[in-house]
Amino acid sequence: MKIKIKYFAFYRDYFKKECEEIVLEKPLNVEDVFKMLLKSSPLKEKLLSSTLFAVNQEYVDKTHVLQEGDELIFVPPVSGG
Amino acid sequence: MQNRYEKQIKLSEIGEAGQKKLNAASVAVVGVGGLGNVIASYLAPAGVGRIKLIDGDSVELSNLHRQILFSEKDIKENKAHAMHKKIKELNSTISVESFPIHLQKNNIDKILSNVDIVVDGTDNFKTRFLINNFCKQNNKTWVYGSIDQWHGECAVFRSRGPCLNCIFPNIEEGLFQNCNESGVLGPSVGMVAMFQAQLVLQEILFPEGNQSFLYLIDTKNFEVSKIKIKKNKNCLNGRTSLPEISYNTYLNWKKKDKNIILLDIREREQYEKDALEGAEHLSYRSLLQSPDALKNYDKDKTYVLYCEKHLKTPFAKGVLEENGFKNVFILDQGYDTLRHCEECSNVAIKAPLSLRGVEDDVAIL
Repeated sequence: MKIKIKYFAFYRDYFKKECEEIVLEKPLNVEDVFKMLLKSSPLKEKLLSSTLFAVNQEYVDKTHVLQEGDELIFVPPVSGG
Repeated sequence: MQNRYEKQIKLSEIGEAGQKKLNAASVAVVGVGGLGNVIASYLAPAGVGRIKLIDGDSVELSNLHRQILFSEKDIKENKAHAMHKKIKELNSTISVESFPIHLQKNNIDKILSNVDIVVDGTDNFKTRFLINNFCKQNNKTWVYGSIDQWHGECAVFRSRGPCLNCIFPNIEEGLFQNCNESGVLGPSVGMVAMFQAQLVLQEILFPEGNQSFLYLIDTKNFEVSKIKIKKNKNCLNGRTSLPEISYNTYLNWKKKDKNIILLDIREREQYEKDALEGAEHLSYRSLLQSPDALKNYDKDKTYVLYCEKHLKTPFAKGVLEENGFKNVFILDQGYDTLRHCEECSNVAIKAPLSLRGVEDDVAIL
């Protein structure tokens, strides 16, 4: 199952890319995918709870299960002004 | 005679009626830095009738690349005052008020209570959540905006829709950098601010919008994502993160919900001498002695507690919650402060009914 992930702001710097496609062996939810991608970060729990997730341009809960062809966006809060 | 607004009046969606709405509107711009500069410089020429500018900072040389209304001669001047002069030059027909202070819990009621829309020009989430909770509790719309490097976000939060706390319930300041540390180009800030200014004008002109969106603005690749957002069922209209409320917020809630009960938890003699209007009495002492003191109170109603100095109320709130009361709030100031607070001239102090009855009897005699 293939999904597309778009990174915004902090996550674009973190992953050093704007987007990528990944293949999931089994259906996973947003939290699973997030932790899989940030597995080396000691802050992943904090980052998870502070990040907004959108699938196909709609806000979703981290328990949302992803489907083939979904576009998942990681949106951190942005604080400057 | 030329009408300064004729080009926008010509838009069929606006017309003379729309212009009247703009002229009658009142908007507060909180933070007059990069975002606030551009926001105010579009709201004033559009004829937004009353604009409040709030900022405690002064203009610095390093601000000028993005805070485009400020010039070198404004350096060291307070930003709210400097912007006041600038936008009066842009449009002398509107009313402008400037507040050279940071928005805080103890001044937010006074500054924002009579505005229609609040717009965010701040650079921190502490102030944004202060605005968010105030607007939720007082049924106001606010327009969020922020920028970090190339990436901006903005959204309209209406009282009946999702709020900032619904979409970012666990923000830790500093976990993600802000633009003071990581840099930003002037036009990137301007792009986000123009979205905000446009959203403010559209909220005034077409306030019936139901859908809520978070706009993600990639100012480097010129991409905008429009994310549909919704209420978070665990977010109680901004109340969850703010068990303390101001006296004005209590008054606003009371207007809408007559069942809210104001509870004075001081000693009986103090309550009988004088108390806040409409308060019922339940002494802290009796609460500590036995939960039986609560047996006549409906657990499903909303309670707002106060004491002398705001010291006992957190503990009393805990006792109520341990006994199954779900909606318990405390006033953020004690009675002793409210009683003598000149700024809170609307604080209604009256002897409770029982005592007023005695006084009436005395008067008749």
